[in-house]
Amino acid sequence: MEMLKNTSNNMKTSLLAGSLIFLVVAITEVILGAFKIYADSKELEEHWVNAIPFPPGIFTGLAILIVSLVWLVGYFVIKKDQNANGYLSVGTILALGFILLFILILITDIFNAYALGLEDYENWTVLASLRWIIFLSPIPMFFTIKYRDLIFTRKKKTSALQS
Amino acid sequence: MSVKTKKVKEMTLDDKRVIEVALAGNPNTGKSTLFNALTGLRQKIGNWPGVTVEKKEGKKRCDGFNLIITDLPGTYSLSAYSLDEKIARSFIIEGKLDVVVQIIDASNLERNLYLTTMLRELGANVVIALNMMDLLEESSSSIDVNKLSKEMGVPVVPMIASSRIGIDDLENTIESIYQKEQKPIRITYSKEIEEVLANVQEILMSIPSIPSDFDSRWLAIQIIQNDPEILTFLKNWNVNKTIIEKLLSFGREDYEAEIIDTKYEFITNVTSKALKRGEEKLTRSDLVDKVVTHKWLGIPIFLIVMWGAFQFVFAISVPFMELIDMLFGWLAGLLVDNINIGWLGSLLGDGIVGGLGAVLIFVPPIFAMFFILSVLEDSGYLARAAFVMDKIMVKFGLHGHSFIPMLLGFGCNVPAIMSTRSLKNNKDRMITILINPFMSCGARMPVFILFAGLFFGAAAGTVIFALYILGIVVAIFTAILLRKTFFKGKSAPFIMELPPYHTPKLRSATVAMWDKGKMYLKKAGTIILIGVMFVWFLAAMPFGGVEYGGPDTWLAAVGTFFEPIFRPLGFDWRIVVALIVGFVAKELVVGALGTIVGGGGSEEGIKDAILADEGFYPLNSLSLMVFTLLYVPCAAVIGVMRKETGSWRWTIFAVVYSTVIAWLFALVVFQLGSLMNLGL
Amino acid sequence: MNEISIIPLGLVPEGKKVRIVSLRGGHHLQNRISEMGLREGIVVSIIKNSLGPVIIALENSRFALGRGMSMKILTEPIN
Repeated sequence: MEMLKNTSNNMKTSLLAGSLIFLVVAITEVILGAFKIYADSKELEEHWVNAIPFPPGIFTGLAILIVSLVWLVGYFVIKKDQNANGYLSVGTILALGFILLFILILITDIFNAYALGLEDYENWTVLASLRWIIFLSPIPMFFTIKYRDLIFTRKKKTSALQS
Repeated sequence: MSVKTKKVKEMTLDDKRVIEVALAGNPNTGKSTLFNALTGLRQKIGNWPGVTVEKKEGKKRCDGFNLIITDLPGTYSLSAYSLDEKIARSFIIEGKLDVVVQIIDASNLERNLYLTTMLRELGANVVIALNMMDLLEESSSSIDVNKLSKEMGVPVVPMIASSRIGIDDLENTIESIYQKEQKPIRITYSKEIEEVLANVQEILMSIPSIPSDFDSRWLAIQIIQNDPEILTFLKNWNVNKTIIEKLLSFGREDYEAEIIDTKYEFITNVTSKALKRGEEKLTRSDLVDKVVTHKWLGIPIFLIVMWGAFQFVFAISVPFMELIDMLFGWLAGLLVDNINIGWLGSLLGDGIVGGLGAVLIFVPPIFAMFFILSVLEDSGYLARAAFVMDKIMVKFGLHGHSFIPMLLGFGCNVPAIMSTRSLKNNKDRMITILINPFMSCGARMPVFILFAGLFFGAAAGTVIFALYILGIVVAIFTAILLRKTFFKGKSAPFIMELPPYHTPKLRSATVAMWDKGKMYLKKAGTIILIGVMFVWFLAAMPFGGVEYGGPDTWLAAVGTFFEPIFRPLGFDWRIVVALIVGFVAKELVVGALGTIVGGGGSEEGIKDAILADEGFYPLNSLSLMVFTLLYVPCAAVIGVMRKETGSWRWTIFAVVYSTVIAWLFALVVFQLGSLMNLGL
Repeated sequence: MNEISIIPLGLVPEGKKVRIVSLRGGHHLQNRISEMGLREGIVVSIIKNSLGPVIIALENSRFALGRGMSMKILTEPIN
């Protein structure tokens, strides 16, 4: 019982911390993304948004916001002494899905820039695409390692058909 | 039975015995997994005779015998109330099958055995493939396989199809029973029903024209339940009218319920002996369901999943598109430069290679779209999406079921409209069909990618996403309108099985992508090729002296004629021509523009030509995209609408309505944009 | 069991188990959902019941039922 309580307290802290960090990233994204669209439409070439170490975008921001909210609701569910494994799992799987997506984009960016030498990639650096992955990875990775058994079904050896 | 079966047979080439097998089972039992595990990639996909439901056949060489396996549609029953059930049933009756393998989800034994009782009553030679034994074990239940086999009177092969465990066993069991006659099980119904059955059977016995494949008891059972298909059967056998009437008069409304109950009693008796139930508990799937169907989180989660799916499609297809583009540009240039007969070089280079290139370049995004949709479907999430959307769909008079055809419409409207057959209520179905073309199919993407990419730079993805949303909004608006006017009434009750979550398999997603994407390739090879050549022809006529695609050609004449209607939308004759050609297939829009503006057959070329052209600018490209989004998708959709609604009136309504809506929306976009002077 | 304790499925709170006592609606509808396995006498548990459709568990499967549908299925609580 004591151990169960510990685990759930542990998870409660994880969910809250993860949620808040993502929330900050998300809000920054949305605000800066909106500003960037405005700046682009006014054709301001050199503006301070470009100095931010990750490329802002409203939709990416909203996606991160939703992951953050899923964890946040999970936090309140634990507070009510209910099972929040689903919230932890869904949030983490969504985040992992986005990381996979950004890895894919990184790979195609590298291919487009170096193998095809596309014009759009003149000012592009590997870091531009890699930044996302670096920013998004730590928390979901941490959750994945720590709560592996809650998030993923491990293949158990079945004895069902051995007899 | 059909010609196709014979073809597969010829392919098996050796003289070993051929055993014909059909694979039956409830939805969500792992039927296609088993089918793939049995046949590998040696599958033939066609249609069931007379209908457009997909039919899969495969073959398998085993030790000393060959299997020809037909995958039947997944059904709960064989009562012939849905198209799927009818197909499955008539194939079992007429297919001269040796064995029917029924795949059963071991963790849902009782419900799945219902279909078994129907198969056995029909007189099929059944083998039960007891799948998902791992799930059963996880739920700490257990099944006594021998007892189950004895009670049902059929062999039972336990297996885990996803890990390919038990496949060999299944093959050997099929071989061992295929020539043995199984005794049909006989479920004894109530005294009253048995008496009626005896009477009906007596009459049936006296009709010589009934083929011997038909078990008279089975026929009698169907007759007294008012089976909707029996009348067709009897008519086909030229049974005398008065006898038919007499037979049908035995049917009573409440018999069916009683027969269903008795079957379940039989099953409960079997499971009480063979099944030990473990404790029920909340599964991982349930915990996940609570989140993805959460009252606030459900819809946002759905939206970001969709957004992620679109990002995936773009990211993965760009490099492939560039490669195809380079290849076709090079090829077209080669042809134009090296063929000395001017018009032939132009036909091959500008017309065919250029036009085809403009179409084939969109193979990558379309394949990627089918891939990601299939991943979502396999994972089980798509069913939850329908669930989540039910809440919203109800508000405009539909329910969650209507949502899946809408989602499929993002791939292609043709299969999406066909999939509305799962809707039981005719009014629901009509509305769902009529709004489907507003769901932006893959063929419209080329236009969006081209123009959004050209004029909206980094915001291209957002613009395209907004277009999809606009399509959905118009669909919703139309649904409300139709429900309030022509299709008054309530929608049918919503009930749907939610499959458990799975990790999607790369292989099955790839297979699904190929199967569906092939349709696009076929279209590119036929209707689009002809369309492209036709556009080239008009663009090169009249012979001699005119500039290809220039203002003196026949093509220009057609466009100029209609131009006044479209001028308020910002379109000149060239866009008008492209849109008219787009009635045949939306894929042609970009190809036709390529022909008109020139660009030497490569997308890069078309892009440069459009950028250099004063007739194209951000605002009219936006209204062009809106128009393309909303007007009739293609000739194929018109055809399938006619077929599925059974009415030319509604088909024509859909064509006219969508074109008017498209015109209005494009007008608003262009005029508002001009007024607000956004600098576009 | 007295009559008062019979309630439509749509009103059963999450996490409870109930036995289906009768199906309302036309013969045809009743028969079709019986064939899916939802029939009188069986026990289902309610996985989710808040806004929107209801999710119920029957053996190892899960069904989503629209609000309207869920009010047509009458149930009694079991212990």
